Amino acid sequence: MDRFLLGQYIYGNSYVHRLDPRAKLLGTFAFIILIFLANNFWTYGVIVLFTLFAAYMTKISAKIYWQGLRPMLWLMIFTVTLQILFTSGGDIYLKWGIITISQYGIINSIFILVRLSTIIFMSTILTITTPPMLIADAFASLLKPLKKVKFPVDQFSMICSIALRFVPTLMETATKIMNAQRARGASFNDGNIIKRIKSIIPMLIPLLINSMKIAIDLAESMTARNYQLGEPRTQFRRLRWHKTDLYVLYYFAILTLLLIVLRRF
Amino acid sequence: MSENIIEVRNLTYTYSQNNQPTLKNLNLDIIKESWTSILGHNGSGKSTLVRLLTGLKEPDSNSQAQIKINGIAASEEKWFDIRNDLGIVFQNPDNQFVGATVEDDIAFGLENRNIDPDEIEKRIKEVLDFVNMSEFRKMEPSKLSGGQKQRVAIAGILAIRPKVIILDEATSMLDPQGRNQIHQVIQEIKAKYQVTVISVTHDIEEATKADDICVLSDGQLVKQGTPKEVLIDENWLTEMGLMLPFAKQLAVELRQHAIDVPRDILDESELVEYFWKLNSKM
Ligand SMILES: Nc1ncnc2c1ncn2[C@@H]1O[C@H](COP(=O)(O)OP(=O)(O)OP(=O)(O)O)[C@@H](O)[C@H]1O
Ligand SMILES: [Mg+2]
Repeated sequence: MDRFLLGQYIYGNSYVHRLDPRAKLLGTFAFIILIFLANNFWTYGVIVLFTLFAAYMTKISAKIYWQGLRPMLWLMIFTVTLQILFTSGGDIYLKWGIITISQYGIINSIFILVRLSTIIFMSTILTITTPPMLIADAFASLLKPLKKVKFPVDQFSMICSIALRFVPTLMETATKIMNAQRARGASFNDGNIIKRIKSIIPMLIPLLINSMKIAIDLAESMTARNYQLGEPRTQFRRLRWHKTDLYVLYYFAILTLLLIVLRRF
Repeated sequence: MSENIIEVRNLTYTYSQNNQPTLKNLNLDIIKESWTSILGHNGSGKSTLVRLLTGLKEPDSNSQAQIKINGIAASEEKWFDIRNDLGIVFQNPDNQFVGATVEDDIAFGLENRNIDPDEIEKRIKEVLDFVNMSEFRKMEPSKLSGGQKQRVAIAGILAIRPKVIILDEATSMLDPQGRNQIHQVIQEIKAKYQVTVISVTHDIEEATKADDICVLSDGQLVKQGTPKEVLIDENWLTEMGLMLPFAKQLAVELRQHAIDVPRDILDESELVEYFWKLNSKM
């Protein structure tokens, strides 16, 4: 129950860990956009190397990345298979009804595989080196300009951080309820998928009621601690740009340059 | 004459689902810088009183209720000012954490009061030292024990430098050791800061150590005074649905064996002293 998509934060002190979360968040977005510049083996090669370089900089073992990627494996296999089977062009190796396996299909599917896996890999690097709270902070900080159009940025970031804060609490409650129901003979792991889903439903109701109670308690506690909607409040955790954050800019400049030059070949 | 920090007059409150009021014309004074215990059977209205004393609920609109805290008469616009000097610790530690880490949670109350981040940093250090939790500063609250959670909650309250601290059964979910640690922290707070502590509790031993005790029953204040005054009559305590302190239970037993233990003995050390005297007389 406690493993998430993309891998959870792992404590560390590498250069990537210490980067400003905004730099990492923006970097990840930039990377996803830059991937679309890639169009041949050279450029995709650069993308792969860049990803591996970034992963190496985190000083986190390959095994942990593999664990982060594994849940996405089926999605990747599915996409790649579709690509192979339904793209035509170039030499045709096999044809059977609407299914063709062609040269372009294979090349395309390799490119798509690289795209998907490097995007997931980069996002994993972000989530594995940055505590969720800081990602939320970075997000809120980057949204700040939206205040001008009256978007409630502060409330939005408070909602995000409370949601994150209560993930472990809700997990704990869910485990408790499951154990209580197991003790009374419920089973969650037997039978076919429909049976399993059915066995989850009686768990959801107590979980929902519990969450309501937590929400009421929390609201009282926040009010008692003088939280006021829309009033100015200071921010204890401040994000500060450091000189080292600028290096990210250089890395990305080099990456962009390489991609632009190499895509002509 | 001692000054009152809280004055409550004619407080009546009815939950919207109920037709009977939960608090009925309650009058209450809390002495400034005292440690006041509030006792009462389950459902006597203690938590409801706490919610009204912190502005989480408003008294019935058709009542003549008046609440005055720290010189400010409560009204809807004034609650934020009143709460600036008020700290509350609730029963369930899990549901009162707002921050994702210990330090973030302590910062929450300070951020709400618009306090400068450098000052927040200083206070976090000070209060975590005070409750002996400095090494847990970066920890997620869900990874702490119940006693540690409550110590962090108290630290978060202490950081705002409150004049009044209200604890609503803050120790009821803790083991005896955790409970003792919290009691000790509160003693230390009382010694170091000028605060009034109001502690809602079912722990009668804790109440024997308070300066002042209020007993609630069915939404009314039925008795108020020092522990010696309030806890003297065993039969009355039982009638109120309260437990007897251990020393008093023992005294009741001893009296049945013709040892006439005085009724104002409240704790073990007084009992021991009485036996010493008894022994030297024989
Ligand atoms: N949210 C609510 N809605 C309706 N009635 C309530 C609510 N909360 C409490 N009550 C009722 O008000 C009365 C007093 O409850 P309160 O929680 O103040 O008692 P208490 O003295 O704190 O009890 P305990 O020792 O169990 O904590 C009870 O009869 C209870 O049923
Ligand atoms: Mg209560």
